[in-house]
Amino acid sequence: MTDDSEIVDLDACPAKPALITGGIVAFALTLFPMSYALCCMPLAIGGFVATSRYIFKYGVKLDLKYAMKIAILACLCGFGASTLLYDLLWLGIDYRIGLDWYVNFLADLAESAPESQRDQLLESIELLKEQSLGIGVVIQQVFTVILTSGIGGAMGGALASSIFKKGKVAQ
Amino acid sequence: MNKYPDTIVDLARIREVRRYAMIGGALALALSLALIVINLTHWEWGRGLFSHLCHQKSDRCLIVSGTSMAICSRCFGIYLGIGVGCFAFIPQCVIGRISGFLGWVFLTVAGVVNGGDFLMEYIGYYSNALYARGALGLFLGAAIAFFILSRVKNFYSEGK
Repeated sequence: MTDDSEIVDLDACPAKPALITGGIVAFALTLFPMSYALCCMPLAIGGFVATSRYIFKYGVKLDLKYAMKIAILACLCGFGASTLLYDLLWLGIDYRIGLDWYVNFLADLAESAPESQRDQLLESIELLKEQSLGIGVVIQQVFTVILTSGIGGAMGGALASSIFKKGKVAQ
Repeated sequence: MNKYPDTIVDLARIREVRRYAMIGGALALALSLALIVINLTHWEWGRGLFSHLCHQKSDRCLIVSGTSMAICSRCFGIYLGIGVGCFAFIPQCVIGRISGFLGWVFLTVAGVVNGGDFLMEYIGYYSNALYARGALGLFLGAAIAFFILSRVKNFYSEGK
């Protein structure tokens, strides 16, 4: 059990610096569609960085739910901002970040794929090229940002709070 | 410090670990189930939701209801493994036995084995072992759950 003097008040430790740091990492890692190669790792890294920054800045050990909350919020900010920038460029100058790379990636994949899956891949390439920015796409992006940030951020935040456990308890 | 408050703290902590394990397990299993339902219903919009969560290379995904899943077999294994690991951590006999150190051991072994599998595939020693990849992902997911929950259990024990 800890003494009261060893407990740090969470209200005295604003999360803004951690959110900014984690958000920048999540933004940078999700701007280019690296998730196609790294799965949810970019967001897990963003969440991990946000929670770690908080822990080291205030020298505290965090409860799991608060650690996950910081990580998820940082991922929402970072991934949300990168998605917004992606859409603005798409809408403004008809440029989609990483699209050429991704189309080539899928085309290479289609060449080596079994016959049964080749058609499915080629069809998805065509759909991707012809896609236009509409309300359906935006709604899907919003859900994607929430879902992906929730999963990746929770994993990153939970791991950070589990690994870095030295310091005062923050409650 | 006498023994009595420590016991109270331990009991409260174990209850908290169980609560986390139940919530985490339920969420992870719900996610796994949702992925299967997306396939069963051939829901393309739902499939698109996961496009930023995984590469979705069709040759690396498990096939359910005639189409490849929205995430690869390793990712599916990880989420399912987190669910299984969380629920496996609930019984008293498991909570009592899995220490923070053992959590580290599980996580390290799972990480090394998955890294080794990735490397073997990368250098071409073997290719596309779909079910093995899923099983390794399952192991990694369970190890992540065990690691996190064992550390939550020892929250007040500095550095353990």
